[in-house]
Amino acid sequence: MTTKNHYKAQALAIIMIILIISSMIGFAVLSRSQKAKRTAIQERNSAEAYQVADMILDNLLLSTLEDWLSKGMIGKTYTETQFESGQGNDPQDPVTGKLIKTINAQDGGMEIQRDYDKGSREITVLTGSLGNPLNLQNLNICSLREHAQNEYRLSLTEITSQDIITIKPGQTFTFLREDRNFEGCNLQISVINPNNQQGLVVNKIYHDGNGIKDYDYSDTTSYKFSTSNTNFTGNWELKEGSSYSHIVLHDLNNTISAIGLTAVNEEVNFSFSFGAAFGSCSSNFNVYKLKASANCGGTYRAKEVVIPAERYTHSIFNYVFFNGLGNIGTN
Amino acid sequence: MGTTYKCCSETDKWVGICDPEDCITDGKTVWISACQCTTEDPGPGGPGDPDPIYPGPSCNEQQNLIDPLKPRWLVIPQGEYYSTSVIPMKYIAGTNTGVKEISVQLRRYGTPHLEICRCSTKSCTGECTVEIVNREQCPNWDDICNIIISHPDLMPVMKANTGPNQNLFIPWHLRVDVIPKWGSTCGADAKYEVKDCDSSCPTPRCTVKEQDCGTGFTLQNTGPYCLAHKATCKQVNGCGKEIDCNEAQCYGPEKNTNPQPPTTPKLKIDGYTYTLSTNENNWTRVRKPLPGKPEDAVKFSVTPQTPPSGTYRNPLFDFTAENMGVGNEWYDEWGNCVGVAGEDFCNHNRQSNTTDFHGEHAGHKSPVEILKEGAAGIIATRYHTQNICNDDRKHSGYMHSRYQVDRLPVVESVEITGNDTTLKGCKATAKFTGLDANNPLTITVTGSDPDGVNDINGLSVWLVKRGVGDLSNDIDEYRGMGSGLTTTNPNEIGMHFEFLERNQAHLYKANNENSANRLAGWGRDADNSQSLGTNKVQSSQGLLIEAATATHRTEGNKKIVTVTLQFPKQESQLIMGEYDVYVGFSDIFTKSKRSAEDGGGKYLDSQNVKNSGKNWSFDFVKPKIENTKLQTLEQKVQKLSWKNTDTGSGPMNTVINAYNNDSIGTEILRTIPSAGNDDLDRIKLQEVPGRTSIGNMPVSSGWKHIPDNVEVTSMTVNTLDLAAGNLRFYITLYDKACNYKHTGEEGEPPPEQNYDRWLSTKGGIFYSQGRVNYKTKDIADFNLGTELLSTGGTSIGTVRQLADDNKNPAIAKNIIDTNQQNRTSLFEELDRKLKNSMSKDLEKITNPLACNNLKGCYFSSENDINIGGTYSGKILIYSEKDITITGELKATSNNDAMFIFSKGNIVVNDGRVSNSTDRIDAFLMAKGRITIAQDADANKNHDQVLIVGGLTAFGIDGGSPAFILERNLGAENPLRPALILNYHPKYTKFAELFFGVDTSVHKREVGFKPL
Repeated sequence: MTTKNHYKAQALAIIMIILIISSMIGFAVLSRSQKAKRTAIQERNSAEAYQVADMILDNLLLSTLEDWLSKGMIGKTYTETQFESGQGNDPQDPVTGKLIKTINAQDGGMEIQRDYDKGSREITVLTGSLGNPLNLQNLNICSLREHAQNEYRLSLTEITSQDIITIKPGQTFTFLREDRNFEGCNLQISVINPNNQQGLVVNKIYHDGNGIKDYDYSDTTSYKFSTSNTNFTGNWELKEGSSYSHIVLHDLNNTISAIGLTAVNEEVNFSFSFGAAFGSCSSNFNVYKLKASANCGGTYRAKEVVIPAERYTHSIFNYVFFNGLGNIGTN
Repeated sequence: MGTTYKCCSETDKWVGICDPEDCITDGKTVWISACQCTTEDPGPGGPGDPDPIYPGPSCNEQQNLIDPLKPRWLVIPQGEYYSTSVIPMKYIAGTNTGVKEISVQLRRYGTPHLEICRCSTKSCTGECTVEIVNREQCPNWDDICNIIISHPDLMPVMKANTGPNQNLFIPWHLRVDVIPKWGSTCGADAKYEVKDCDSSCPTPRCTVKEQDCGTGFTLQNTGPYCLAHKATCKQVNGCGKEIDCNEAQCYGPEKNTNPQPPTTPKLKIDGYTYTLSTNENNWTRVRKPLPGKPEDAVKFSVTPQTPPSGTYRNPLFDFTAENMGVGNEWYDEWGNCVGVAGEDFCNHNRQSNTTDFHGEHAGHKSPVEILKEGAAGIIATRYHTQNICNDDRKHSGYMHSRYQVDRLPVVESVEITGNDTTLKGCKATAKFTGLDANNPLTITVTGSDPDGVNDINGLSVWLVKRGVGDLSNDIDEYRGMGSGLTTTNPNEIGMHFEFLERNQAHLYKANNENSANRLAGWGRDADNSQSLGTNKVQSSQGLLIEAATATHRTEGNKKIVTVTLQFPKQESQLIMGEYDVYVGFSDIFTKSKRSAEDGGGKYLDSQNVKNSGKNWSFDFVKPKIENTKLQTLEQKVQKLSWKNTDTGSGPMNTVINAYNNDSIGTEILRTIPSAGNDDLDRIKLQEVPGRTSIGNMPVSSGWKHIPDNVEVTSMTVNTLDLAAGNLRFYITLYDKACNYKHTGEEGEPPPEQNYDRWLSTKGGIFYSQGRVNYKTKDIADFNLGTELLSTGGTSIGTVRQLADDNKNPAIAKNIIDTNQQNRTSLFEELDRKLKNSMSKDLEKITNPLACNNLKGCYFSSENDINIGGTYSGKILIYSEKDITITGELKATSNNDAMFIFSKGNIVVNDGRVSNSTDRIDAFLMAKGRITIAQDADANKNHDQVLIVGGLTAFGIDGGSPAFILERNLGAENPLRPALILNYHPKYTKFAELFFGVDTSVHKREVGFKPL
């Protein structure tokens, strides 16, 4: 009888152990599935936020910088949240704490808020005033109604030396002297995160009386940022750097008409500063940055575009020879 | 001095009568009437008695003037007689004083003389007789000085004077005294004895018998040379004594008998000995003698069956030849020693067992004439010896030996063939062998042998240089064959192929390179006597034939031999010129081993080698090409000149090849000389082939030159549109033997001209979607670019590295350029902006070359536009279709600019050649293609093009590539770029007037903040 009882106890212990292990496995599976679900939700939110930001920029780019400037966009940030007319709290209501912006009805085309509107429709209103209305309140993606924290923003600012300008391969970003004083000035171009696939051609164009000076060999310099790319050979000037690579154009003068930067093979992201040790050489060359962002479910995505006010001719005119198709040569 | 006597005393004095036996002579027993001592041989006549008073003339003096030499006793009794004997006497009594009387006296021993006769000169008493000898013997006297006194028989007198108590059987003395009229009585004595018995032989006498001669002798008179002793027969005489009573001459036996016929008839011809058959049904075949040999080159010999020594003398041979010629043409009666035509001979009574094989009569045929091919004959030989005892001879029977002369193999046909077409396609002139043509050379010889094809055991082949080589000293000779080393005269190349089993053959080479220029022998160049040796034929100066081989086969009664001669592939002058081919089969006779008896060794005679009537020429020296020059006459015209030289057979064909590795398929045209056929003059270039393919025929990528066999010549070529690569010319000269030489064969560079068309840019960015392959030349500071040279392809070139690094470009391959990626939208954007500009700020002009509007002008058309000339202002030329720049476009000032924008294609072609540079001050942009076209036909000169501005060919909806450079400076390409593109930054500035500004933007993501 004692033996029999002993067996029963052992069986019970075994069963308990099995139960515990099964439970642990079950919890783990449940945890992973929940995590995956959270990740999937996050990814969706991110993609939607990216899409919305892109959409806003595309809409704004239907109009020109001049249009934006004429609307007084410079230095302003426009917000778009879920908007309900008259559904808003007392602006001074400390409970909600929401600040409702009051906008002059003549500016920006924003609706006059009244009666304590809930949320913001500034971007929607702006697009309408620019002639390309975009109703952001009713998007199917990153819907403002889905989450209270979902939000879109838009701003137009002058770039600073910290802002990054992107040049696509084959495209040219041109600094125009116009009426600026270039005498003794330095223009520093800082290439961000340079790599061995990038190149940058810096071309200086000079006045010659009322015309343009003939080309000279020293007018153009080609830069590369690594020695490890075997496709880049010949007379490159090497500017190595890990986070930054600085190209400084020293002692400029007023015979310069324009300085063009042409990216080679890959996007080149750069910032610039224009100055001198002595004298007034400060200028941002009237370059603006338009930025749009979206927050979906707590995931923030933003895009921006840099737009110089002083544009130059297309980069194709920097080419002495362009063969758009096929092999050329003796065979 | 005569015989000396030892007389009765030692004092030599007459001592009176003594016993005659006391007179001892020195060998002669001479009894005289009284024992007288004399130193003289008294002779038969004796000294006579001395006259004691006055002697008067002595006996000697009396006999003076009388023939002293004449024997005085004519019949002298002497010896022994019997009572029955007849004892005659006869004496010449002589004195020069005249004979008075003669007394004949008998005397018994010890008794006084008994006178039996006394004679005067006329008569005698008793029975004596006298006879006067011719008076002339006594010339000075009338008296008788010589008288013969005779007595017929003294026996009766003796008997009569012998009493009963006297003995008749005693020695008797006979004396003849000659009493002269004056002087001493002289006389002579004779002594004889009478026996009491008849010691003579009885009668009848016996007969000598054969056996009386003794063993080994015979009574038969075998002859005077076998006289032997005299044999006697004995009989018992009256005295009871057996005495010889008869004798006969014995002779030695005649041992000589008829000898056996000789055996082993042998005919030795040129050192070969043949044992002839003696069987009438079997004729021994013998070799044909070599022509031109002396008459003793052929000998016939036999082996006698010699009798035992001593049984004969003077052996001799008789050789009788009945040579019947071929088909019994000379058949005649046996023993006709001359024959029908002098072919027969009878060489009889010859001491030697060997005879020359010819007669000695006038007009006799020589052995060579007798022993001609197929001839037969019989030689009868006998042997005879002379008797020992006499001069008679004994003959053997005839041995008939038979011969038949071998018939030499016959060459029926000789064919000389080869592959006259080389791998390079050259067909050699007939009957020429060169390094490649007809090399190897095949000589097929067909023949037969009347005696049967199986007789044939080899083939001789000679190559004899016409006018230099001469086989006359070697053909009719035989020479030894062996394993030894050889050096062969290049002017007389002799080869003998000895047939082996299984249709194979191995080679013997003539060893004839010596100061005497004579064939010394045949060798195999083997290491040892067992080795077959090599199949090379070489002289002291080098290799003549790389491999000489042969195979043979029998078809029916024909022998077919295929000889293959592989000549060296290296140049050589050893064999050069025309050679006559001599061939000849050997058979088991003309090439065979000699027996040990003949000295051994193997020999080959070449009498059957004859001029086949075939000839062949050889040339192993390559021709030369000299003074090769390539001269540029114009951009598209090249002149190639050269000189042909050949010391061998002479030039035959000249092939000119033109190659270009970079322009395969491009045509060029021969203009001078022209074949009058475009298919022949115009060729498509191919890449340089391997060396072995250069100069091949039929010609590929080249021409067969016209004329092709002259010494100094040239060719002119128009390179048409050739614009890349090096045009290389190879001249290949073939001589008649297809030996060839081509330029570049020894590593020297062939004449060549570079035709790389290239362009040069300066300033600005250079970009090509595909790879770039312009061969930039080292001319001035020209380079493919000076700033960024970029391509979406994998290669870009050629880029120079100038000393001034500032002028050297940066190069980027495999790059992305958004202008190319988005070229369609870019072009549309540019077009849109142009239209916008044309509609707003630009002034429309009708004269496309003049613009006074500072903001720019435009000239547009919906159709094609042609433009050219000098312009002023800032002008846009816009066409919905194609634009052709038909002339130079020059800006008046540096402040002027022209943009040429085509929604089709742009062609630069002014259509005329000024032999200078066509300048275009403009920025060209085409939706499709931009072509820098030829300004003249491809075979004419073209002008260089200079564009100051830029060139953009988008390649949208058009062919690939978007840019085509057709302008071709031909041979001037290496000197100048066909196109120069110089960037001018004014176009970057002035483009704004027409194309506005670039409004493209780039969106960039900034920041990403997940929860």
